[in-house]
Amino acid sequence: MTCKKAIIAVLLLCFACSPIYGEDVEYISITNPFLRKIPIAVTTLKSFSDTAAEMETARQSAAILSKALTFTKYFKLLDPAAFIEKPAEKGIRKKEINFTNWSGIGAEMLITGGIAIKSGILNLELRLFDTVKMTMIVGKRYKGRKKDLREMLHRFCSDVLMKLIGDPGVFGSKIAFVSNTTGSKEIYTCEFDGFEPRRFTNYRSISINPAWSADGKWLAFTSFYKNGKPDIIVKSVKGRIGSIIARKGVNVSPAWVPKGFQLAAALSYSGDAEIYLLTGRGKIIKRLTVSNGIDVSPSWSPDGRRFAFVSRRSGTPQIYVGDSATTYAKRLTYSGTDNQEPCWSPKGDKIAFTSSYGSGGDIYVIGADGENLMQLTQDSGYNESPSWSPDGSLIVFASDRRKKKSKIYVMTAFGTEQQQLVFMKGAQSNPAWSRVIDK
Amino acid sequence: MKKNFYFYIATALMIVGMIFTVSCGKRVDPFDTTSEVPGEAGATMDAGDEMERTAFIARDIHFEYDSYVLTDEAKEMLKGKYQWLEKNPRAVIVIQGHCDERGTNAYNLVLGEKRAKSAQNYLIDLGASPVTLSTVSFGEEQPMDPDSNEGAWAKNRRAHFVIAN
Repeated sequence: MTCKKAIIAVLLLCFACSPIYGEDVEYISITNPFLRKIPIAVTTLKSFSDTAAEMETARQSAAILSKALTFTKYFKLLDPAAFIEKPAEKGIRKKEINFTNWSGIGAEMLITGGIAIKSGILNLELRLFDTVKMTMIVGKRYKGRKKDLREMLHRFCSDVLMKLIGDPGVFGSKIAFVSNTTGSKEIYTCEFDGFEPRRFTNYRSISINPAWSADGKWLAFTSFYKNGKPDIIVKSVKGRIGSIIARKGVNVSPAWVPKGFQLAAALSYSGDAEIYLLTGRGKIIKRLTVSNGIDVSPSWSPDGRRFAFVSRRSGTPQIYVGDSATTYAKRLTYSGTDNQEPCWSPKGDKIAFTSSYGSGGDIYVIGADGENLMQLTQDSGYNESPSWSPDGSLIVFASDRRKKKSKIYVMTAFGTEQQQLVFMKGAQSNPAWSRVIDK
Repeated sequence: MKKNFYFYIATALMIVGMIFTVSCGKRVDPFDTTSEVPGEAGATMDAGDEMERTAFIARDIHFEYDSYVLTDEAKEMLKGKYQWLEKNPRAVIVIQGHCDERGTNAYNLVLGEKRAKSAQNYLIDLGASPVTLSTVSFGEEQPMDPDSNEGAWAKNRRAHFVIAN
C-alpha cells in the first residue's frame, strides 16, 4: 500500500514539475524511485533574534537538513552558491518568496526555516515549498532542548517524507553491529546514518549477530560471554540483561517477532539445529522447523505469520520460507549453492540474502514469492548480512571490498549508491537496522 | 592409591605442558619436543607419553568446505586419538569445532558444532566414554590462520582437541 503511495507520490511530482515527461511516468518510477531525484534547495535558517549563537545554529541546521535529505537518496541537493534569494534575510514565508528565483535555478522544492533560542529552549519553524505550484507542502513548528537540534530537524525530514512518499523514512532508527575495535568482538549501536557509534557490550569475549526487538528497547545477540559457548543474551538498550538462552549446544541467530516480546532462534539442544519460537525470557513456546540438518537464521515477515530461514535439508544452504502455524516450509532460492542470512523487507514483498561462491559473496533480493531475483552487489569481495531500513528504501550490509577489511555500507534497495556508513578502526560486521524507535 | 599418584603426576605434567604450549603462542611440533619434564623424581610418565599427549592436542582433524563428514584421513586420526583416550581414561576432553570464514557467523557456529559432534560420535562408536567427551563450537570466530586463501581456510576447517583437566 505504502509502496503504491510512494510510486504515486513520485508520479505526482513528475507531473508537477515537468509535465512534458508525463507519458514516461511508468518508466521513471516503478523500477527505481531513486533514478530521478527531486532537486531541492535547503536554505540557511533565519535567526529571529540575530544572536551569534542562534546564527551559528541556523547554519548548522541547514547542514544537518541537507545531509539528512541526501541520505534518503530521494533528493538532489542544490549548491547554495547558485541561490539567488536569501530567505534568512528576506523572509521565510510564502508571501516573502519569489518562487521563480528557485524554479529558475532548477529547484523543484525549497526548504526555509527560522530559529529562536531562549534560555536553552529551541524553537524551530520549517517549511517545504513546491516552487512550481508555488505552494507550501509542509509547515511545522518544533520546540525542544538545544541538544535535541538534530532530532528535531530529523523530525521535520520525517514529516517531509510522510507528505511526499507516505512513509516517515529512516529518521529515528538505529543500527546495531559488531566491531572488534577493542580487540574482541563487541556489539555497538549507532544512528541510522552511522552517527555516534557507541559500544553496547564490554564482554571481552565473542559477541555477534545483534537483533532489535520491534519496539527498539531490546537487543538479542549471540555471545560466548557467559559460558564460553554460543548463548543468546537478551539485553535492554539501557543495559539490563533480561535473559540468557543457554541451552546445551549452540544458541544462535535471534530474530524478534514483529510484535511483542518473543523471538525465533536456532537452538541445537535436541542434537540438531532447529528454529524455535521463544519468549523474551527464554522459554520455548514451540518448535518451528523439522528437518535433518542445519536450520538457522530466521527472519520474520512483517505480519509475523511466516519466516524466512536457512536450511541445508536439500544438501546446500538455501533460503526457505516457513509458516509459523505449521512446520511446513517451502524452498525459495534455487540458483547458487550457498544462500544465507535472509532478511524479510518491512513492506513484506521482498527478501534480501547473501549468496556466496568460492572467493566472494553478494547481496541479492528475491520476491517473497520466489520471483524477480535481483543481484545488488558484484565484484567487490564478500558482501554479507543485509538488513532493511525501516521504510524498506535502503539496505545496510557488511563488505570487505576495501583492503579485505569488513566495514558497514549502505545502499538503496535497488543496489545503487553503495557507500560506507560506519567509520571506525578495526573490522565491523553483522549490521542490523532497527525500526523507527519512539522516544 | 597408586592410581591417584599417577593421576597427580599426570596432572602436574599436563599443567607444565599446557603452560609450555600456551606460552609459545603456537602449537608445539610433537616430534620436536625435547624439553625435559621438570619436578617429580621418579616420574612414571616418560618422554614417549608426553609426546603422545602433545600429539593428541596438536593434531587437528580437518574437513572439506561446508562439510562435517569425516574424511578417511580424519577417521584414521581419530582412531589414533582413541588409542590415547584408552590409555588415559581420566582425561576430560573438549572437542572444538571450527570453520573457515566463508559462510555466515551463525551458520558456521552450527556447522562447527556438527564437526565437533562428528568427531565425538566417531570416538564414542569406537568405544570412548561419552561422559568425558564434550563439544563446543567456535564457528569462524577463532581461525588458526587469519588469511583469506585456500591454504588458510583448509587449516581453519577443523576439530581441535583440548584436555580440560
